[in-house]
Amino acid sequence: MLDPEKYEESKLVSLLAEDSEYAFQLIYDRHRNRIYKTATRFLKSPILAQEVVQDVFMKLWLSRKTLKPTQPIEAWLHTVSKNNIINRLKKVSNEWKVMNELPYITANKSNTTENSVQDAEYAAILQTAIITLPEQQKKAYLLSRNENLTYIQIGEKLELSPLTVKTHISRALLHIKQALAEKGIILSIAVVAIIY
Amino acid sequence: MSNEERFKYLLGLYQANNISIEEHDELFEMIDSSDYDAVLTNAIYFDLSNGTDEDSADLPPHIAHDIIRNIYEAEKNVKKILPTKRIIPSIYRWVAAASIFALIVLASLFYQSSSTTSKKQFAAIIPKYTITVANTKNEQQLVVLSDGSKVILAPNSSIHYSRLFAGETRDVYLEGEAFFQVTKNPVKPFMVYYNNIVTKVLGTSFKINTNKTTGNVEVSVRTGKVQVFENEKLLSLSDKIKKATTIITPNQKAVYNAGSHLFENSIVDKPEKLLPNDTAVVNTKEVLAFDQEKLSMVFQKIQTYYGIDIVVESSNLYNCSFSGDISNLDLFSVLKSICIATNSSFEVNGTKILIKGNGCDN
Repeated sequence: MLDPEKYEESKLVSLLAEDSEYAFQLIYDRHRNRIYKTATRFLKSPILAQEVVQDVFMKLWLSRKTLKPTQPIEAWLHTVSKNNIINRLKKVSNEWKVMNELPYITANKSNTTENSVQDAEYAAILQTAIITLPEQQKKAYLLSRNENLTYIQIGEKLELSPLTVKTHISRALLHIKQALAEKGIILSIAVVAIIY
Repeated sequence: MSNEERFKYLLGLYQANNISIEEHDELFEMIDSSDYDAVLTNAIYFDLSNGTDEDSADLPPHIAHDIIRNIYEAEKNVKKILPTKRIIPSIYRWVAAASIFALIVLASLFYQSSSTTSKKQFAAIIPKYTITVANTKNEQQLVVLSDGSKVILAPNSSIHYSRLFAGETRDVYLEGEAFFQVTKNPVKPFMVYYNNIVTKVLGTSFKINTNKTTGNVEVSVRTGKVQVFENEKLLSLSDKIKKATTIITPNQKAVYNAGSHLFENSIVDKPEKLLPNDTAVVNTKEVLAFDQEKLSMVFQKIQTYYGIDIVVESSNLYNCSFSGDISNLDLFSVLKSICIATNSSFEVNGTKILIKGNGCDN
């Protein structure tokens, strides 16, 4: 049996090149938590952090034949992890930004939809719209509206990434807005019917 | 405070989960600008080298185990997928372009393997006064029918048909193997008689071929709808009562088993995205990319694109999310990657795909 402590990393890399799953497991066990925790700290999502770990070690396993034994494995893992985290963070940031630029969200940021809802009938429509939301959207929407939590805080409660929370809330707002708009159309049709 | 200091400050708030929604917007705006990549890089390296607070959770052991398994599985799949890269025959591309045509391929193995008596029976139902074209050359031969339909006859094959198609149906009798490009005419169905089965064009376009390993006749649909049934004239009285018939839609195939007189419907080996005629989707060439999309949505999209039903064993699977660009993968590779990502598996169950797994808790 190999003793992990005595085993030099360069030997692990050579073993890895010979398809040693044992060497792979040793490297994995040594580094996975550090990478996972760092990814969590930057991506705020256990799922995304797990994906980072999987991507990084998938890359290590698939490139095992081309690694140089002289190359420190830790530096290699850190570079790959850093790139992976940064790419993901940028993708999330970009979508975050794009979502902020969508008209229906900015319109709702000031809560104009809800503020304009004054009469009792509209309040009832709003209530129905909220009740008929998909479960996750409803939870996220209510946490943000009633408890004033941030996306990260809601994400922790619901075990979702902040971006997913933001998406849920945006969709919920869209759904509510549509429900109100549809009702508006039905109301105007009713008026036309009376005139005739 | 300089911009860089502001960035570090916001990043600190973000990492401590203390950031307000407005500050979060501001930070992500800055990250998106790429102006602070160097600061970000250093911050990530710092955490990787020095570790973060020990309070934060480790990678859960069962996930750690799954990841290792996924990695080994993925390598196997990469090896499996690479050599089978599919090249779409040019004839399909042609048909895709001319969607008013139907494409039929009929192959001869079943015919050749059938007994001489059934050959004689088949010959008996071919009407007299028909035109017969027999391809005795060593290459394919093009035959244009009076309705504009085209037939590409394989060597040693022949077709029989009436010159004007005056009857209620356009009947073509085939011996051997052929490609058919059928001009659409809803009031005069196009029927291909092949040994003791009949294939009727119901919709726009489709394809028929033969499974060379089993010798059974296989009818598979590319677009439109096709009905396949046994030819009554060739059935015994007792079999007539239970005449086998089936309708198949795109990406499905019906395999006719001559022994049991039954059609078995299933999914074609290489499902392809539907052509515009068969789907509400305007452009099936659009990018199929998902970012943390719930599987309920992902499967719905795939169903629309391929016309194949996907059923899940546990509705919890719909809670899982999937990220990835699957535009250029074939359906089964797509399903493989989804299954790897969500710790599930899939199997073809009749004309449906069943996804098995415990799903996600969210």
